[in-house]
Amino acid sequence: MTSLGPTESVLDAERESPPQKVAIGAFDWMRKHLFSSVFNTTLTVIALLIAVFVTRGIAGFIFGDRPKWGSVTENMRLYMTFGYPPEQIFRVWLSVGIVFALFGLTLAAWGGGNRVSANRLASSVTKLGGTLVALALVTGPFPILWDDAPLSLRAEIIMVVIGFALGGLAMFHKARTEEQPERTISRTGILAGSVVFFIAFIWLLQVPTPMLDADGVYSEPLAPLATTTTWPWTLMAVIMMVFFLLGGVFVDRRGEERLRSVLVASWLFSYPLIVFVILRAPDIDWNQFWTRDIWIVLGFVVGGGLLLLLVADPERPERGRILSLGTVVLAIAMFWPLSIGGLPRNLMIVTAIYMLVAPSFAAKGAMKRTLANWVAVVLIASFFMIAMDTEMILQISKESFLGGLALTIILALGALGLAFPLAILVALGRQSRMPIFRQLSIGYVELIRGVPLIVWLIMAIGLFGFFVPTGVELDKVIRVLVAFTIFWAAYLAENIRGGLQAVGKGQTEAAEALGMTAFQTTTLIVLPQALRLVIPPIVGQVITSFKDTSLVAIVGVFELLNIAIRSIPAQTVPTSNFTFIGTVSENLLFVAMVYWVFTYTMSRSSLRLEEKLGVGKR
Amino acid sequence: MKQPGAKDIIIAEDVKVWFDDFQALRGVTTTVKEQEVVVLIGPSGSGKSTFIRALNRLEKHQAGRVIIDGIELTDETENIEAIRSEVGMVFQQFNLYPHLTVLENITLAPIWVRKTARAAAEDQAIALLERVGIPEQATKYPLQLSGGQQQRVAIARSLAMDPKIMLFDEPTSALDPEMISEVLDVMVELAQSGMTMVVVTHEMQFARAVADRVVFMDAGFFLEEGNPEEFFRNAQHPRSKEFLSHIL
Repeated sequence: MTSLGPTESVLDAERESPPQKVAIGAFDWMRKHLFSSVFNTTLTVIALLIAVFVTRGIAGFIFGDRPKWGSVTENMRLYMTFGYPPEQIFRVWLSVGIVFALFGLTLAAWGGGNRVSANRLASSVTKLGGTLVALALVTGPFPILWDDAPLSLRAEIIMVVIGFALGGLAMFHKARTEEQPERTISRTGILAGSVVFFIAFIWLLQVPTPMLDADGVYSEPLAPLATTTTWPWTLMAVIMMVFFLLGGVFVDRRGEERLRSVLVASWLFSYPLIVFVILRAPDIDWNQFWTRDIWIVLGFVVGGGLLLLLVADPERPERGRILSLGTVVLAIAMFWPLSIGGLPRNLMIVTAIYMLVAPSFAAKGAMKRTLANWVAVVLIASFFMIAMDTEMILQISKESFLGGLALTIILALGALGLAFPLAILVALGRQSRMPIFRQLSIGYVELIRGVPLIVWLIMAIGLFGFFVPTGVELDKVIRVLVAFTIFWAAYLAENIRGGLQAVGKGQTEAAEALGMTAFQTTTLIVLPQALRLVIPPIVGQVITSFKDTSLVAIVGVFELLNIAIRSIPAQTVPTSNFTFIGTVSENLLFVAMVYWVFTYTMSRSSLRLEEKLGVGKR
Repeated sequence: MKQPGAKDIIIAEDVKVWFDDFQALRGVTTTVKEQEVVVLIGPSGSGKSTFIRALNRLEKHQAGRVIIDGIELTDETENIEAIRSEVGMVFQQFNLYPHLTVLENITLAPIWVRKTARAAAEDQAIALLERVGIPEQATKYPLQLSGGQQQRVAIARSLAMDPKIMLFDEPTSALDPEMISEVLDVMVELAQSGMTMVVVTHEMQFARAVADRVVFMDAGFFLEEGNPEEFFRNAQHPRSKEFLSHIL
């Protein structure tokens, strides 16, 4: 006799829900996890004591009387823009405005429609409030109170109140949403809330601000952090919100895809625009432009366009190849033996690269689009070339028009932006079947990785002159940027190689079997998959790189760290005997916090990027 | 299926392939006519896959000649790409692009290789998805589909290039039994529509239904060929007999 399982009706019946999880109280939780045995209890107490002492030590310093926080708050402009001429400061705000506007649009394009679980938001707000409260309690208001330090007391009271307020708000919200666990809040709401919070923060938060009275007595009364910049920052926050809403409208009308492709181009384009045009403020010679440059540009537009028609002609691929090779030879010849410099040579380089790539991507039916792209490339490239090749309007006393946090960001983004394509080329070179490319790539990686970054930086400053032809003078910032680019590319290349190796051979075969060229297979099939796989290590690399920009402090470039350890601790307040001399620790702490805020933001956003692209759950 | 008097679309003359020192194909000579359906069977390591992969240069033949639709396969990149865009291939592991949707998987090659306009390519892709029976999956990603559905997408992806020849490299070997028939149905329909097909498979029902010719391969040679009924009933070569005794 065979034994049968359940009947049809049972099979189709609804399945059981999982057994309920038993909620465990805070007290039981502590007993189970912290005080389960004598040994564990001892460990818990010791760990707690260490935590209290360390936090008290740090917080005691921060809120104590010794540090002159005025040296930080007074020097905000120095930290942000260094020697940028104050009368031209609107250029900085214009740049920040562009970035904030793009950021608002980006939020709208990626996740504008998303909703965040109210419970999750409440729990993170509770955590933030709890941390603030704990920090205030551990610091202990009492000892400092006896020291009769009203400043610190006020800071702590503010923190406790904020902490309780946030925590309470979150708790309240959580309690209200307990009945509807599915409740969500739109990102628009959260962003609007953050903007309001930010504006309130810059208007209301009081920090010690240095003051000298008529007798030259120094004091640090409380004043709003952004004393002179409250209005601009408020405007920036509003700009971001407005562009976020505009982006939402655009997404509703035309869809996300459209906005995303526009945004990617805008971000790429914004970097040279901000650095070379807005901040550098070139004094363009319009006379020369109308009499000379415009003809060169038009010549390239028309000549290159005609050439493109021949190069991308699918009927005569042989002729196309010879012609595109010819442009490369001509571009090299302009360095030597022709030695033609300036705009014509630079545009020739652009032409050569375009002609090499064009045959793979030019479409027979879409020749018009290819030509339009070409015109746009020439015009944009010429615009930047002319702008970079012109004297500045700015009158600056320092070595470079860039400095401070602005320089840190521009250096990191610029070098990483240049290192990335270079790294991809090197990584592909290591995979190449042609030994010459493989050996060159391996040699590059091994040589660059074998020498410490700091040595490369010092060489970039000290030995650069030996490597470039005489007469070529390069700014210090450009030299370290080149050094960073070359160094980071070697490391990035190794990361990317890992991703390339993880993409299966079947993928290339499938693409090749459809008749795709090697170039198309690489750019459309292999690289998108490889880069997705290596997002985590690449983000790690980006974070390291961002922090490594501080190394340029030792070669005398004034980015964030150098200002903190050299400029400010050497400052004296005019017409008094008071100085900021020796205020290294408070400035170091401030700089550390700035680095942390940036890197933490990066790692959080990369987590979200991974989630979006589905890395790890393939 | 084969019409009388059709022209030769695949010509292989004494094709030899080595992997390092190991000779995988030891001189294969054959012709395939337009609209003919050829099924290759044989034990693993017999050179079946190597042979069909040599027909679109996924493997390079070191000796002999391969002529596809009048173009000889040489080292010329242009030749290879021209032939590959005429010859579709379906793989055992599907090899769909996981980072693209089903629709993008199908339209990618028409857009970039054939330079078809995007809208036209998408219309064609939808039509192909209807032909293979899964139009509702167009916006999904490959890994969200079952194996049988993925393989049907892979077939649609190859068909999007309007190939003259389709090569199948064990298309059902990685599938659960339930899904094999859905893929075979598509292949049968394709064969009946007049596609020239070279298929490496052990699905005897498929061979019986549509194959004009069954070829038994072993040790890098074509050992025996004939029409399917005759071959399965009355194989001559001892190796063929032994192999058939294992699978029938």
